[in-house]
Amino acid sequence: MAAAQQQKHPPRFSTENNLGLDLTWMNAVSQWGTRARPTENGLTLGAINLGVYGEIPEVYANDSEMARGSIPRPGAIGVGNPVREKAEVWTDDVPDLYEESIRRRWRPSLDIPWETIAPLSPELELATAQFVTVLSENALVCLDVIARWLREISYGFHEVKLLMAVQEFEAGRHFEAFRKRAVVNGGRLGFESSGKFLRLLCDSKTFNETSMLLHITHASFARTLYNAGAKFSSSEGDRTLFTLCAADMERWLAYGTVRLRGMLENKPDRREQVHSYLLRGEIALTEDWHRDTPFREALAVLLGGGLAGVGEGPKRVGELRSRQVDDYLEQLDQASLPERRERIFPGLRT
Amino acid sequence: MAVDSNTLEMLRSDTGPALDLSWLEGVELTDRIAPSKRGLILSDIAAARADTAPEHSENLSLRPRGTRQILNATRVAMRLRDKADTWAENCALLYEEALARQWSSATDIPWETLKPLPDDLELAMCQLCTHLCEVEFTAADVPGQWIPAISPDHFEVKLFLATQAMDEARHLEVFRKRALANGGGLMRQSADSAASALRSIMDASDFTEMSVITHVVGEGQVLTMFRMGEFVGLSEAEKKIFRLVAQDESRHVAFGVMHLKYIAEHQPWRREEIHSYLDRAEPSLVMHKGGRIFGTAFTERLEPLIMLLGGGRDHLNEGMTSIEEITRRMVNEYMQRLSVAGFGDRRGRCIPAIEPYLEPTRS
Ligand SMILES: [Fe+2]
Ligand SMILES: [Fe+2]
Repeated sequence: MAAAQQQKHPPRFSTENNLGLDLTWMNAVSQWGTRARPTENGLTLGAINLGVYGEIPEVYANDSEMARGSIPRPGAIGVGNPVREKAEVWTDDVPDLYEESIRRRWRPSLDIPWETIAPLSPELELATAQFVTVLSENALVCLDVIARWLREISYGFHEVKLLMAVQEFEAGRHFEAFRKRAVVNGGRLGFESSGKFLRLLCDSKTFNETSMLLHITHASFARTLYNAGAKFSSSEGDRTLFTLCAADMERWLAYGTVRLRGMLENKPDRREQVHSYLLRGEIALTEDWHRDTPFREALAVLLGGGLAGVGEGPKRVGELRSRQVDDYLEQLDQASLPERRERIFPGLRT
Repeated sequence: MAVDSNTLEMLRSDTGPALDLSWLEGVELTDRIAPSKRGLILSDIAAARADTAPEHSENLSLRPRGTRQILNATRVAMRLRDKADTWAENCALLYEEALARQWSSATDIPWETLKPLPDDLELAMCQLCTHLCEVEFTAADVPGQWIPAISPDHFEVKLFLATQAMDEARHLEVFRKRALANGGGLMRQSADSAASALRSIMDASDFTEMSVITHVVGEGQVLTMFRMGEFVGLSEAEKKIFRLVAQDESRHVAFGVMHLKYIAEHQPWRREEIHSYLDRAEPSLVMHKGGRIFGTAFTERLEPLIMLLGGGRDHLNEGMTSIEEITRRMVNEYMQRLSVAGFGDRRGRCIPAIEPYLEPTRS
């Protein structure tokens, strides 16, 4: 159990010395007597949010890199960090999501039983390679997009900066794991995506827009694909790969969903803007879907179990697409945006 | 082995849904790649597929190296396209090493070994940690701004920098945890001179400029300091924090050194430009002279260190002697790294303040 033991009067020290040292910092402590205790998950980020150190301001005015809760120096130069509103970035489970991400870290090089991936027919192997090529490309763009936001977020919400850093790292892990899968079994990287949705992600201008597209639209569509991948995989190696990636996506979704819900509660006037972002994402996903024939056909081969079943494939692909859309709408329900069901871009389902 | 083209033709002319299937056409399966003892690491894959990063990238879409191009894909032209702009030969290995050596500040630090300290030492440790909470994440914030500009043909650099962001996140929180775990608290924000040093990293308008100031000078300096953690740490928990953080920092420094080496070997005309960055960054290596601190430079880093190394408020002179020793190490390790990077000539043209600390080169 975490506990703060606060002592009202911190010790006072003379600053006199013969070395020309300043030493005034010795009399500048903000909450003397803080003693966080490890929890059952160790000494977590949440466990140290005690007293002033756990006060998350609605707007963090300080624009420097000062650690939240320390004693500011007047005149400290600013570093930018334009995202300074709690409602834009914060959810109460950010500290836990960060620690959970660390507890559940994995290594593609060793944690995937690559040796269990048996030789497949050329069409199944090449379809797998095509499928993971696009997943890999998506993950690398996510890495780019997340990286750009690290600095933009204020030091008042350092937990969110840390969570973004883990997600950047996880995106890298997905990129490399899928890339390895594309070639490990004799296949080769397939065709790129036409990238409409990825461009939208790259071009997003506010944290809210990025988070909607990244933590909800992308994460939801990706999670459904990973879960499908785990189902149609014929080896332990492939199943492990998709299952681990899906578990990571659940944390992205957890952050994005609760963040959106909180933001809508705090800023109900943003609701229409949120719909605009979602619509743009839905249109871009639809365009990609129609243009990315290799990806679609690869899914048809994988879901049909090979070329013999490719006639059945498109039907199954359509079902998978519907599942993606349903999962996405379900996620938006959880984010308190149930009316999206009525307003979704009609082309998205097919 | 490839997909039979007659089968593809037959499927296309079938009465069912229209199929293209050209993505399957003429593609041969090649050898499977067996994981080694180290697992399936990036460099094994690259070696098996003769997959090397190009010296200059013509790729302007979002596709990672080796992905097949489609002609109507989106184009992103604001890119660093030369390998030398960002590359280091060790980045794929550093990436895999970083994954192998991740740790958790929540569970891998023996927090139970923290014991109540005399007030002066607790204050000093808390001030040092407060300072580190401010500076650590700059090395994630700033490289993060560069990542989108790195070509996806040189993705290994992006991957390495993503591990650095992860590492710096852990560093920020482990020092915050330490400040709040032993009866102290956070202390005073660092002096402006520290902020200015961080701004010089942020203000870099070239990747190499950023890397030299961040990875080689800044992180090189803290690496030396963290390696002295045996003497700075007062409990097993603190010693382990410094040990693990130093292990991470050594990767960040290694990237910077090898990036610089790549520049020295591939873009020798940039040498004078690099020296100008070093001229600007070097003063941060020596923050005192003859037992006196220069102004308020890094007060909140240096003074607590002096107190921790000396053993308390009443042993500042001893602490100052240790700082001299740390500075000597910082300067010589810095020079050694530059010489590995192909900048051995720096020794003859470093700023005067660091000359007194230079030891003769080992032949
Ligand atoms: Fe660090
Ligand atoms: Fe670092």
